[in-house]
Amino acid sequence: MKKLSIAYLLAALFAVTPLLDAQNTKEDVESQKEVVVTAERPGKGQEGSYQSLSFSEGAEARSARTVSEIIEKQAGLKVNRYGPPGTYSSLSIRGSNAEQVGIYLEGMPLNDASGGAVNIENLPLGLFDRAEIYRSYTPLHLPGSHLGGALDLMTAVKPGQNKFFVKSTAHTLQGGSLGLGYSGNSMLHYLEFSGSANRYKYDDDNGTPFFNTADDIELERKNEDTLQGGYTGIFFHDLGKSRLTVLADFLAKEQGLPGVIGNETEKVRYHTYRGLSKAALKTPLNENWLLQAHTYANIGYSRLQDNDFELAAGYKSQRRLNTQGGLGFSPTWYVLDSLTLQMISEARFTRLFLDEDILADRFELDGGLGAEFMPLTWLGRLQLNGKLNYVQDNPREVLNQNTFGRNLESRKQAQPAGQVRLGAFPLSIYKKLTGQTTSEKKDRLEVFATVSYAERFPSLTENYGDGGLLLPAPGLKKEEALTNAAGIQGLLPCKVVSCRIYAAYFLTAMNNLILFVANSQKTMIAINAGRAQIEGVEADFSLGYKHYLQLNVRYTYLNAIDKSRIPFYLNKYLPFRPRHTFTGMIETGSREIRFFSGADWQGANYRDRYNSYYLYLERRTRIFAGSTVYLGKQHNHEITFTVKNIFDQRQVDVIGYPLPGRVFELKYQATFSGQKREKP
Amino acid sequence: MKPGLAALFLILFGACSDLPRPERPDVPSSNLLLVGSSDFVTGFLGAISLTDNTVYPDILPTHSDAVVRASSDRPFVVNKLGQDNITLLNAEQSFSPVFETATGSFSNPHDIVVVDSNTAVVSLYGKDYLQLVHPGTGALQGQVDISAYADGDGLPEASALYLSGTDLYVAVQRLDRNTVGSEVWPPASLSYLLRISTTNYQVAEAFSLPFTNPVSRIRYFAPRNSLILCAPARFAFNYALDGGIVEFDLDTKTFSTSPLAEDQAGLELSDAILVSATLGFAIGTDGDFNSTLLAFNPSTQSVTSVLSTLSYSVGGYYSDLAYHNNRLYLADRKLTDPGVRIFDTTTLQEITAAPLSTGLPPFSLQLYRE
Repeated sequence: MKKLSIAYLLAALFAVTPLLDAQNTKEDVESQKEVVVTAERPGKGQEGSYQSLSFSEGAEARSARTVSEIIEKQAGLKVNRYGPPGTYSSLSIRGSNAEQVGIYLEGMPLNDASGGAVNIENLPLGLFDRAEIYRSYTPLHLPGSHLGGALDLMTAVKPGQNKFFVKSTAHTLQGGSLGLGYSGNSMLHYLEFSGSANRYKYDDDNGTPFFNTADDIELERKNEDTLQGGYTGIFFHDLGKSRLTVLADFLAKEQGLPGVIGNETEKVRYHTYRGLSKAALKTPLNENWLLQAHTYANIGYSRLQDNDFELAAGYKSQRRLNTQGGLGFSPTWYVLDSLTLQMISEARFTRLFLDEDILADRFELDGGLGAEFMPLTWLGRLQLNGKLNYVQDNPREVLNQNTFGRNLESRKQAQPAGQVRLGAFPLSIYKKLTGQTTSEKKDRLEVFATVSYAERFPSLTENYGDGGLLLPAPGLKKEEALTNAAGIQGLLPCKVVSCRIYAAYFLTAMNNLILFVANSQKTMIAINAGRAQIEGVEADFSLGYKHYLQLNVRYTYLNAIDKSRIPFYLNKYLPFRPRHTFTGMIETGSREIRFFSGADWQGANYRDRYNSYYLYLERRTRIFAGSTVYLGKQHNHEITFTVKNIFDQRQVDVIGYPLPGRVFELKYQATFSGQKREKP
Repeated sequence: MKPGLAALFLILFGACSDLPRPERPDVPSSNLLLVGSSDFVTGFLGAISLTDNTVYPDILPTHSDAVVRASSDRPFVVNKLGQDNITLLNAEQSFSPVFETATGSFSNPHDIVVVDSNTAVVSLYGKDYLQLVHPGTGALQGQVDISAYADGDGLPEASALYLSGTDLYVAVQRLDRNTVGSEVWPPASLSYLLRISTTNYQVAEAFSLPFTNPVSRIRYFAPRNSLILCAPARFAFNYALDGGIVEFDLDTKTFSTSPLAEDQAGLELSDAILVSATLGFAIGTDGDFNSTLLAFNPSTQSVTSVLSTLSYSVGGYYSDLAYHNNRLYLADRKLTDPGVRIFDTTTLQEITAAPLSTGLPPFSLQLYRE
């Protein structure tokens, strides 16, 4: 597998480079402007190894009311929805499972050690300025190891500004939100409340989905309402040359769990609470050394309430509490102008509770080393990242009580992960060779190739079951993935217009994929059933001409094949991974009024591992359009009206979970400060 | 055009083709073992020829939790909780559907028996009544109230059905869904076998089973004119060897001595077939959830042979049995090699060199026009 992947890497690298050199001969990069904003955080370094995604600029951000609505339009990323925005959805990167993706808030892990995907609907859009997307690996500064990659959400804090801001939405699913924020020289406060009845029409087949269409009816979705409120605050304090940053985040959410089509529930409720806190200290020791340290504590609490036993799960109420604390230390050594070394170390402790019982403890240690080497700044860079994630799980008595004498033992293992990334700057090389002055830009055009490797230690639930119908699985192995990728990214040398491109080919081999399977009439167990080979292309192209025109086109190609040892899945396509996905958006207008329109198109998609023709979705298209009006002397009032899913398409991502059709949304944002608001 | 460019176009063209739509096979109309297969996400009806073991997989999509039944020459798919419908198939047209009738949200149909050309009875695990439907059109007709036999949660959990003359027998599990604690849906103190007269659809008698929680289908044992069913009492997650095989004498309307109790088998028993007075077969799981197919002697209530075992850690289990013409058919859901396995009931040796793959793992077996 490794030989094959290295061969692919080299072939892709050499195949792409000559093409780019030919294109670049007559271009001028001097007019290029930087658009990527990077923040300094502990352990953070290497440019180019991630994609920065804006949550605050552009029509894409203005037309969205949740984080997931922006994420799902990105190349290589797929959001699977179990309901309308704001309810529940999960993220896949490069064809991974949702559980293989790490979600972080300012570097703090949101994944639960007990397993399962992070619900990205619990992240208020108004809070964030941008996200960093790491494909196929988890960088040094983010704890843990994830096969699919990581998404780190960055808050909208910009030191030096002094402003109040208001963000509000209203939509025809009978919901809306109100966010109030203050950003000062040394702090940010953001408070948001949102709720939605999520009333919409959907098609109910009355439990006869295959042939009988005569009894199909249109129903209104019930018990899918959400109500949430949250606060996030960030404080800075300068101590001489050092800076202390403190972050506090709290979220409370209540929502209905409406059940699947045909078996709708009426009163099942789900409560989620999240509390995060983090303190980080950055101290430059001298010109060559930077020390960074951080500590954090997270609490995730959820409660499922089923008073009428509608879910028939054998309980009326179940509470889960996930507590986590971490302490990290990261020195950076600027050895030479051309060489930077980073080291990270972090210790984490997680304790899981089920109702009154402690389920298990997990202790983790991360240690890693990163290096960036740029011997000639016009030539390219070599980035090396390697980390070791050590995990030790200790199951508690409550998990032992229903194992029929099978005593659960502590498990401990270390998982290596890392990435080697080689980048070259073809325009700079050309200019250097022709004697022209090279420009040093962060966002310069780069041809890159990467090899990434990651392992995932089984979650506590996979290892030990849930003390219920999920049985312990001693001997479960780690999942592992090797990904090779090559591509191009950066600003293209366009003269009048601004052109940006990101395009990559990748090939991933996954092994020991964990799957829950039934091993008796009423019990399930996790096994290492799967292998998969996923290859794909992700392309993101944007073109802008002043404020007159902005065009974004994104395309994802996925060929995700199940190579598992399960014969009835072997060589079938992995579900929820359409081969072709396309999103496009165009925006035009004046400085006062903007118009935008776009399409999200998805090709054929299997929605089960067996690739049955019943669950096959031929295609799905969503068209949206809208307009933004800027008001006020400083254009500090922004009103956006959007119509989503104009043609009222009702195809679902996951069978049984309806999605809304056409939705009208209104979004208002205002900023009150001495500074004029940036216009598009 | 340069060869390299042409090759690039060919590659791009190949890559641009979309994911293909699957196809379904043609199937003969008789001498079949119908197989409901499932991975609990996707379900399909398949079939195996009883004459030459030809397999016809993926004939028709079904619910992921479905059983196949045949009554009065009519093949049905009983789609359980999540779809809650009864589907009648047309054997003459490759088992294409004739009707697909919803029995109601959360009704959870478990079994169907055709009483006559105008009436079929459907047991509903999630309701306190039996549903009467027209076996030709699927039209819902009336209900048979069995709420008097419910436990504290209000549901009797009616499951398997058997028609003997004008007597309809209904296995009533009576699981307690409201129990909160370490057990999940444990059986109440008593489970019943109801006898309902099909002349008036009233419960004529309720027989308290010697073991609770009858989970298997009800099979007829002709040599003794009796009914055979498995009642494992606390079962699966609530593991306990407190049940066994139940035999009900249709002549005397009494329960005979259990052909094999769980403590005699050392297993949780989930299905059983009696071939003769001295030979029976059963499947079950041990305390580690390893599956076992065993032969036993009903007259001595003892295990005589273990025909096959499946380790719990592999994934999968033995889920159903069928018997025809000295052949025992086993639905083997072994994850890495699932399929229907055939055993010779005289030699107790496996006939199939490898499981007959039905695509998805077999879940439910039903002889049809054998």
